[in-house]
Amino acid sequence: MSNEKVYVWDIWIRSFHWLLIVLILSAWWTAREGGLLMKYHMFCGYGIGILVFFRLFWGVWGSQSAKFSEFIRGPRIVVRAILDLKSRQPEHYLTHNPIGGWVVIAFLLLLVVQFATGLFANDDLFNEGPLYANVTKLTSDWLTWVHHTNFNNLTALIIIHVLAIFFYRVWKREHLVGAMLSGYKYLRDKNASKIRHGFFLPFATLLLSIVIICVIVNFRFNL
Amino acid sequence: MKKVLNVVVTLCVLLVFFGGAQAAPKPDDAVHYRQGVLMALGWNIGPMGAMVQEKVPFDKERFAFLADRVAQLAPMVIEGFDVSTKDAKSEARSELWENLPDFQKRMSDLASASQKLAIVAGEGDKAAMKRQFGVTVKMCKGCHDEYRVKH
Repeated sequence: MSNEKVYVWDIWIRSFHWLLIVLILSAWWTAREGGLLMKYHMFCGYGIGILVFFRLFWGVWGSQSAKFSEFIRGPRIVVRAILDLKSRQPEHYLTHNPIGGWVVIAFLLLLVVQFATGLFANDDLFNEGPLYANVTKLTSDWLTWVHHTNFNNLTALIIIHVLAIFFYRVWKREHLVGAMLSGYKYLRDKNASKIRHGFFLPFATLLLSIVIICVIVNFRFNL
Repeated sequence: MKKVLNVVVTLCVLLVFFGGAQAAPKPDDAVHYRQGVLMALGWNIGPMGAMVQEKVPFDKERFAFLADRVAQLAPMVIEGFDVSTKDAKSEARSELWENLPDFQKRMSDLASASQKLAIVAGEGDKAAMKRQFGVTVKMCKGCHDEYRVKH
């Protein structure tokens, strides 16, 4: 097989992915410990919020493989991709495959819900999200319940995601973890990498995301 | 005279009857009692948490005052968790009644921890106060996680 090393994930997408894992794990652990560590839980939350906004913007004006328009496909193509799972041939996508594309959307959706509800949550002790003062205790309790319940959804999706990566590794012999680490996939040589973006664009996007989070919480980070 | 005596006796009988009925607490009363004490605990722990997190200036005297209240309140909660309240409408999960000895132990641990918090607060070492506060609230969270309805 004449496969070629093709650059698919820019450094920003890779950093987003691995930082998100670190922050989700930290958020989970600090929430489980609770009490005085909730301060750091909120810190993780702001970090995740910044990452999610960055990813949303990067999906609109970022590098090609990161763009939603590149990997959001219609139902017919998704069904074909599902049927394609039977074949043990590696797939040759320059971005997420049609199934994975929708999983990205699902992840971002769950994370937005998680971030938004956390802002209003309370722990019935002495920790409150930065926007807790804007709602009644009853509303906050409900949003806290959503925050807890939605974390189970997130956990379920993470498990599905990890199992899927394992499936592609074993069944289709695709090194997706390696690609997310190095940025390179081994693809048929007809696929040429089109990953490029301006030098300042990602920094500007990151700055924009940080500003948005600051505005959302009114600069009251509860730190 | 006889009429007056009749009225007095009737009143006494009524008083004994209804007074006696009130003396045995209903399960709902026990639930309200414990909810009240827990609410009072939260009322006092809130400002302590704000001080510990330095959201407001740390006032050692006020902290010690609140810690004393918490130490008084914490041992009072368990009285409200009478088995008769098992089926009363509350936020207690059925697991609480299945693991009652564990819950009772946790409540007595909380009482000891909050007593220690009051002692530490009296000594005035800020770092120790913060540490013991962390230990105490973790016990609150322990039972909230294990035995309280998720809402």
